[in-house]
Amino acid sequence: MTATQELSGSRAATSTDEYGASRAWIYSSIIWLAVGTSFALIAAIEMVSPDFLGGISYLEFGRIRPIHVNSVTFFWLSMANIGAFYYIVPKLTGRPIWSEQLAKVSMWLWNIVGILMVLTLAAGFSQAREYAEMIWPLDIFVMIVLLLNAFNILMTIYKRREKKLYVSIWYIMGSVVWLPLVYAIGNVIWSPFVGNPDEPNQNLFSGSLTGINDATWNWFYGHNILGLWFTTGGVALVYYLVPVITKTPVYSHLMSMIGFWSISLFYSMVGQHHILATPTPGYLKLIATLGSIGLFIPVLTFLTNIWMTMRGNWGRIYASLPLKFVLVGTVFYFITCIQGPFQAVQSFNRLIHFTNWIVGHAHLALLGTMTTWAMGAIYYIIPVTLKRRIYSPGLAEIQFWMVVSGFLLIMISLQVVGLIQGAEWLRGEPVYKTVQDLKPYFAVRAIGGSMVVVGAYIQAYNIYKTVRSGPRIQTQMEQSLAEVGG
Amino acid sequence: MKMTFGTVLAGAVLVVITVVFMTLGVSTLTFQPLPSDTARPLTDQEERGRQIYMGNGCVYCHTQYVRPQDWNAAGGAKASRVAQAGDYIFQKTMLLGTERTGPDLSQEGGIHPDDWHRAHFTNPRYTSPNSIMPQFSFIQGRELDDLIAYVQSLGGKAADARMAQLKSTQDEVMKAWNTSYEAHLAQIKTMVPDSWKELKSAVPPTQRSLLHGKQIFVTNCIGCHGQYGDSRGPASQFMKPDPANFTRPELQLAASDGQYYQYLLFGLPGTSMPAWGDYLTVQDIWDVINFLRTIPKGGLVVPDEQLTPALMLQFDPTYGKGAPGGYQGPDPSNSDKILDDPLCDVNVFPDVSVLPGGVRPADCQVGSGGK
Ligand code: HEM
Ligand code: HEM
Repeated sequence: MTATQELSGSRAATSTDEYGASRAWIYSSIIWLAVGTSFALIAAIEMVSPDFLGGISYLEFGRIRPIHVNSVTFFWLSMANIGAFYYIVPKLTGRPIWSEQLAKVSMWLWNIVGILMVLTLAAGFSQAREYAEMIWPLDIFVMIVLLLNAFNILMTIYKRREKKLYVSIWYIMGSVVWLPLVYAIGNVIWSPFVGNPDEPNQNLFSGSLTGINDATWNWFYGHNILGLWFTTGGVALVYYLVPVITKTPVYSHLMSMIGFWSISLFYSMVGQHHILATPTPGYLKLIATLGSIGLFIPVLTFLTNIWMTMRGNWGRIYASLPLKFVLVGTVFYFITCIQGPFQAVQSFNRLIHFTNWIVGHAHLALLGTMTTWAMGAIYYIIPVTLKRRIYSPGLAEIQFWMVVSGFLLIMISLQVVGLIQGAEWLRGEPVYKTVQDLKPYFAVRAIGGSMVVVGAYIQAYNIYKTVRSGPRIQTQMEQSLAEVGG
Repeated sequence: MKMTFGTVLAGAVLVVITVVFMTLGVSTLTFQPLPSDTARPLTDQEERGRQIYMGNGCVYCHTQYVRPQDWNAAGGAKASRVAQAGDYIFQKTMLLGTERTGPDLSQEGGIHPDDWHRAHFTNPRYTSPNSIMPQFSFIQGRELDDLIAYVQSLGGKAADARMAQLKSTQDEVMKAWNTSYEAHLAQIKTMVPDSWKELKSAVPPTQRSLLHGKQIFVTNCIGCHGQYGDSRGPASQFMKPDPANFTRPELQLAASDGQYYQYLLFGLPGTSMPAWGDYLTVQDIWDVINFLRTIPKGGLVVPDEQLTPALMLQFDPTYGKGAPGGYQGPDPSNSDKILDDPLCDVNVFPDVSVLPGGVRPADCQVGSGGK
């Protein structure tokens, strides 16, 4: 036992609150959700009415969009997931987090990265590689925080008291090492300069390669932050929450194992399915298509495992709000992962590539699935660790319906118009003509989007009020109830 | 299998690293395409423009590669080209894009002259009323020049050839334009094949045809040609020569239907007039030509029920060929009034605009049959 570990261990054990870091990450994530979706709403309105805020450079659509995407992915979902890890890992290892202090420091550093991300992108500094827009100096900053986090979590698990590693822990271990790995490789962080290095104003610090292979690297990255970070992180939450809330052991250990190993194998192969029609090597496309079909294995084992665990427990979703969020998320996860392999097959890809269908799929995955999972985790963790009941279950219920129905409007409108775009292009209609078809659907997206934004603000308000004045949990019975998500 | 700390950690890393080597590693080591026939490095100015393209997120709406099935995605009939790996050989950071909200730009160079881009970046609705592209009016001066230089480089050597052609035609057009209006009319006629020079509209000028033509004109053309057809649309301030002024009876008398058809189908070389063949059907084009001929006598301002073939001013083969001096036709009664109207900053949303916004001064109502 090292001195630091002893110190942090004993301090956390004696303090009244061993989940401060977990909540700190969660609080920040809640703010980032409100921020990120507000930016999204501006972007969505600009796509309906392009002169709305027209001519203001830092609110231009092409600058707002990456701010939206980075805020909701790296700063809402990632922070919420990491916050949940800082709760789940101590629970499952039987010891406090290795260094609570370090976890809080990482949280502040991560928020600084976020603010710098917004400022640089708004000012027009971007790598212009999807999901990797943050410029090179920020990449380095990101890497440092990711490594600090990974180290902290891995040390906690390494020095655990509970010997057996539960499935959520595998996924958390995988996620925290995969993310820095994928981030460093995909951002090509060892090659930061663009253009002619002799001309000073051309060095925009963009990690990337020269030539078409860069697209392969970009989409290896773009795919794997989805597959080896958001998905695996989300799956870890679900594998924790569902058994705990229903007080039922996970249905099958074997299935969990098959799921874990097949996800790490197949997800890392499939980056090329985002650029199936580019002039890149054919064998990469073949691997990607086969890998995408192979992804049915982890998806179906995971879902079967969770839904079988729910056997006899389905009635609980009426009583437990976290469970309701999580299970609705699993349904959307199912739809996402049915769409996915089809999208990765050339014949369907011809129709939907480049269209808004893909944007619909992206929101199905990250808003419909991952966001509802994270919200479920938040509504579970906050009451249990604060020992306060949710300030207003009614508001939380409204939030649930706002987010779910707003999201459905977003997804359905985008996927419908995506099919229209795809069919018209195959028929030879020029893009300028199909642009005219988008407007009504984009208006529906903006309406659905504003419902999600309202949901995000309700969550911020409700959690704030819970922290401030949520009714205290006093009896043992109330505490047990909170621990099953009631 | 026992899932210990070591198994999980080492396994997770090894599986992913192996796949990374199999995919990224092997492909990057073995796939090194040669430059394609059109590839060339960017100049310093173009590279600066590319930075602006990256910083403003153009890549989220515009792709830069054409798939085999996309025969109408980029450059239309003029410049379609299926992407090859060697096209990208000199570029660092791929800007291929994954969404096509706007047209593909891989062959954009030389499709439009710089003037058109200047108007379009200032406000895309000026040249393309249905566009949902953001305004880039905040990009000005040297930055705008750089950006345009980059856009004109897209397509590499093929784009350079188109640019060279465009520049030389532009010189001819401007020489005639600076001489006199008659010289201009004569010059643009030289760009039309003889067999088209006296061709008459294939679509009879029924009232339905005129109304349809008006609708097409209002939704596509007024950004440059003006809401009264008087060449004073908001985009016109960026353009030399001026867009055609359809209120001028001389133009209507001098230009045949076939001549207009040629300009609509292929664009007017050396000017900002784009090719509409990729967007409009044959029927659309003839309808709009029939309609153009009503503009001197108020086709854009009279109520719809008065838009009849009687307003049309037809081509006169004898015009300008020594026939008794000048314009002999009926009095184009509206043209004086029309020409006095101020230059309007019109911004048209042909469909109902769902949310507020847009530059739409109250005194610039589109001529929709003014009450
Ligand atoms: C079985 C699982 C899945 C498969 C096979 C799959 C497949 C695909 C394919 C082929 C595309 C690109 C289509 C194109 O651009 O032509 C795509 C896009 C996308 N997928 Fe999935 N998907 C799956 C699950 C997921 C999950 C779980 C997530 C989220 C964690 C996700 C998030 C996204 C996003 C965000 C995009 C849009 C990427 C962009 O910006 O272009 N997908 N998916
Ligand atoms: C937490 C919730 C959300 C997440 C995780 C999310 C995620 C994403 C992602 C990954 C993309 C990139 C899609 C692609 O490249 O294919 C995207 C784009 C976008 N999102 Fe969201 N989003 C969320 C909420 C919203 C909301 C509420 C709105 C509307 C108000 C919205 C509007 C947009 C718009 C307009 C784009 C750009 C689409 C385009 O370029 O055509 N998003 N979002």
